[in-house]
Amino acid sequence: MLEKASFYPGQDSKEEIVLFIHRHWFSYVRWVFTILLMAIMPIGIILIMYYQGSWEGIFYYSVSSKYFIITFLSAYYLFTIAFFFTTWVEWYLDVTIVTKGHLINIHQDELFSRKVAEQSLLRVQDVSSKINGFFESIFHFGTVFVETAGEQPNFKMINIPNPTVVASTILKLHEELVESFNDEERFDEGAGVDSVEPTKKTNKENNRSKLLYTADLQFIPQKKSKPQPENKVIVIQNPNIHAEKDVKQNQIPQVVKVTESQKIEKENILRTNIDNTKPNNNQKTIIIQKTKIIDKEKAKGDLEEGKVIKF
Amino acid sequence: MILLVILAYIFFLIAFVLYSYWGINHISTYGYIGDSTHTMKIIYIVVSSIVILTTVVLLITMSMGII
Repeated sequence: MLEKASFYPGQDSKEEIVLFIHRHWFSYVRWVFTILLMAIMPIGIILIMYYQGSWEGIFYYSVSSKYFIITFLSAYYLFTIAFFFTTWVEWYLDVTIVTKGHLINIHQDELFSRKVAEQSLLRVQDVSSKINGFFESIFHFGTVFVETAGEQPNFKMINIPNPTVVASTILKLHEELVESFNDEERFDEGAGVDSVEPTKKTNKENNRSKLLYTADLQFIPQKKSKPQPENKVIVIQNPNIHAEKDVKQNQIPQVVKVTESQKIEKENILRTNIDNTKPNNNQKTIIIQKTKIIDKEKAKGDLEEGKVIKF
Repeated sequence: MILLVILAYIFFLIAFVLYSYWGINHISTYGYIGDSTHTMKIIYIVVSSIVILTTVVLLITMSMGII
């Protein structure tokens, strides 16, 4: 059962819906005509019989015939209403949903028969639209075909309004998704399914991760280091070396020495990374969290955030 | 004969109500927030009730000999 806030089973609450497409209204017109015909037909028969003079003969033929005619007409119109309701539900709940990462086609066969097909946009290979016929050309609706990779079934969405726009939107979303993976993910050709280990991800990565595992297991998410807490970084450089050289992010901080003149409470130094294995001994870096300066006057100018201290 | 007709109608009504109940339950489950399924439910219930009530009134008036 769907939750009220979701549009299809398994929907991620943060997944943005780009297109929500009902079938074109013209595809329901034939049912409207059928139902109108069903509704008018008994009235027409009664009117014809009335003007021919045979109606009173039937209606007053016996007492039970009155009951029969009324209950029959009542049952007939209730059946017509139920028929209208069923066809409307079949038409209205036949929808296509396009999200940032998925394509969902919900097909309502009958009132109690429902089929939901979901596919990742990463698997989309080709999208085409088709407008065929007089009415489709006039009212701008048609069929959209989505070919997918692998053994997954292709999507055929009929009676879609503005099929050209829908097809181009799906293609555009597919390209954006592929580009985002190319930018942020590392493709490892040698990796198989077994080598993919789900890792804890931030909320921001959840959608992408879900797509990743359902779409193509050959992509391995690049493990990102946890963001550092608010640290103050003091870079101590040897003045003999060029002072303008920036410290890259992947350079691990090295030997740490804090002189007494800086008046820093050592208990508040929570984290320092020291690595003597790095060949560059000319740079000395300290990462200090929540530094507390005792003598502000003396330390003023020495421990400002981002300040480069030379000695 | 009259009883047979009315009995058949009652059976039909039971089937109709059950079908309608499950149908409405179905679109309540799979309908979407703010869409037309709620309007359709109201229309369906109102029209069906009018047809059934009219039939009952007609049958009662006929049995009383008014018609």
